[in-house]
Amino acid sequence: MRLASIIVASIVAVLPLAAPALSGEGPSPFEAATLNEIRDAHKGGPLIIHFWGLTCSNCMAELSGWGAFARAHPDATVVLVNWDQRGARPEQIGPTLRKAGLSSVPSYALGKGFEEKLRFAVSPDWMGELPYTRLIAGDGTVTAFSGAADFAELGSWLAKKNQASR
Amino acid sequence: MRKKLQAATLFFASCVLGTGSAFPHDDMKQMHHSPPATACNTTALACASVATGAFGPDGKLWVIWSAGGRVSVASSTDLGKTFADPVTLPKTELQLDEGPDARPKIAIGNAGQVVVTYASRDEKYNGHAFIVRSSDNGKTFGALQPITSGSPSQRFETAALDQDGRVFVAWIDKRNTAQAKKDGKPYAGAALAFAWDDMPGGSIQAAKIARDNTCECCRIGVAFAGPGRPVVIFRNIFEGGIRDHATITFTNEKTPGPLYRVSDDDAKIDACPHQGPSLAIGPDGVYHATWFALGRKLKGLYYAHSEDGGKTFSTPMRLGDPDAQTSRPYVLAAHGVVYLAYKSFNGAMTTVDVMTSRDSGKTWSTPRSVAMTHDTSDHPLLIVGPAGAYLSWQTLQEGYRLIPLESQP
Repeated sequence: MRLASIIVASIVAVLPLAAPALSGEGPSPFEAATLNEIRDAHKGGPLIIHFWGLTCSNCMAELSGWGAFARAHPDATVVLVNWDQRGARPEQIGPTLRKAGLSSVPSYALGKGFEEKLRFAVSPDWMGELPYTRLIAGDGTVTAFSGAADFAELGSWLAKKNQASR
Repeated sequence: MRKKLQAATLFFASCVLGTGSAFPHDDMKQMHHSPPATACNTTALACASVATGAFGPDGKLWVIWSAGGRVSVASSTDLGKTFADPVTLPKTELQLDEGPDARPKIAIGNAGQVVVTYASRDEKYNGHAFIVRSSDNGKTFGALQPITSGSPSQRFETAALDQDGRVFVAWIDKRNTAQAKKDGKPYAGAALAFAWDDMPGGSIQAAKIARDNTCECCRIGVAFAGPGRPVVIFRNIFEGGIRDHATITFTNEKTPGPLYRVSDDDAKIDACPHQGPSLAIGPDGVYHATWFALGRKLKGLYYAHSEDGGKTFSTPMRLGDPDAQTSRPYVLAAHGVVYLAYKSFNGAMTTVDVMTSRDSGKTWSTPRSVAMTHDTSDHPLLIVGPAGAYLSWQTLQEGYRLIPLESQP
């Protein structure tokens, strides 16, 4: 597991910190400040942040659904964050997302270190269950849900929030 | 204010107990100055992310851990202050299963019997679980033996010894999931499988399925209602895809009894909580269960007890603070006291709180903080030896700690 985190570290170390990696390349590290950086970069518009795991069968089952959603909504800001704590093979993140049609979506992976602290920075009441999704409206209002996404509902949320921020 | 109080209580506790492991002042200082152990990749206990403690009948402490890609075991005759040279157990062909709820486990019997289970995972994250035995008090261990054949995946394997010293092994198995897929039939989740490991010469019996359609992503808990009568607690999949907790009590060694629901959390969710339940049974036969709920009715950590062999449970009691990531509950019934432990994170540090009951779970003490850490930590575990109950906790900064729990009035 330590070895795995070292591998993650060495992969992410070569990536530029400021610009998030696209899924096709391999993830950028998700650190305590990352969520705010993403929010700042997309201020004013709706933002969907989806947390998933290679070791989470429910996440893997709906990943291609996220690919289809991203294709159907090219103007939507969707960000993917891999939250495998241990035991996953980080080198599989890029290829897995490519296969799901998510190559052009910004991709992050849980930074090394204190998982509780990084998770607390996302939300104090997120218990680490996966999949987990945060919907951030242009006015900063956050809705979060655990479990599989209802993509039709997600589409109408997006349409409503897009309209609101125009 | 509350945190300050907790720290003060903690320091006081360590003075009273006079133990180096409880949380002495010097450790606190050292903790802030010690460099993060990022380059730790040896098989040493200090490099372990998970460590499981257990006492033998002779009072010897055993710790099993995975580090540096291997599983190791060591024993201590002075409550974890010093350890004998560790024994590195046979290497698995594939990478060890290091998911959030996975851990190597150990059970110690009489006459030098030590039983260990651990699992590896393949490219598709299927688990392959093994059993390893020692008959010379842990000096040497035999070869890796798969816990079953004819199954594409086994995870959360748990070996436990009943009162007669017979080894019961239970795990989450995907043989019926795979068969259903082959037949083009729907099949939710996985199955709860079991086998007894008591054949002469050390070979495990053929696996049996105790229950189909159980949740595939969480650890299970095992306790005994009597010799040859294991009780298993697990996340079941009820009608409508509701993933709530249930117990099965065996009527005899071969026969799993009826399934009873522990609580109506109404967990209609296709998410992996990666947080399994914990079960203890007192000498009075009362079942004590604690679990993480992610339901529409209940959310958070809960405890309940049953006085009728699991048929009905008390109203669930909420544990911890919902805004402090309270997680990983564990229960132990020993020496007339029931103990509950869980960990919480307040944004800066993780604290393990312990509660005690002296009336079989009817009333409980207020939570008392017994240990804390400022970095990554394993789940808090409760273990019992001849001298009392302990918190067994592996943390990145402090390493392995065995902390005595005074029973509270």
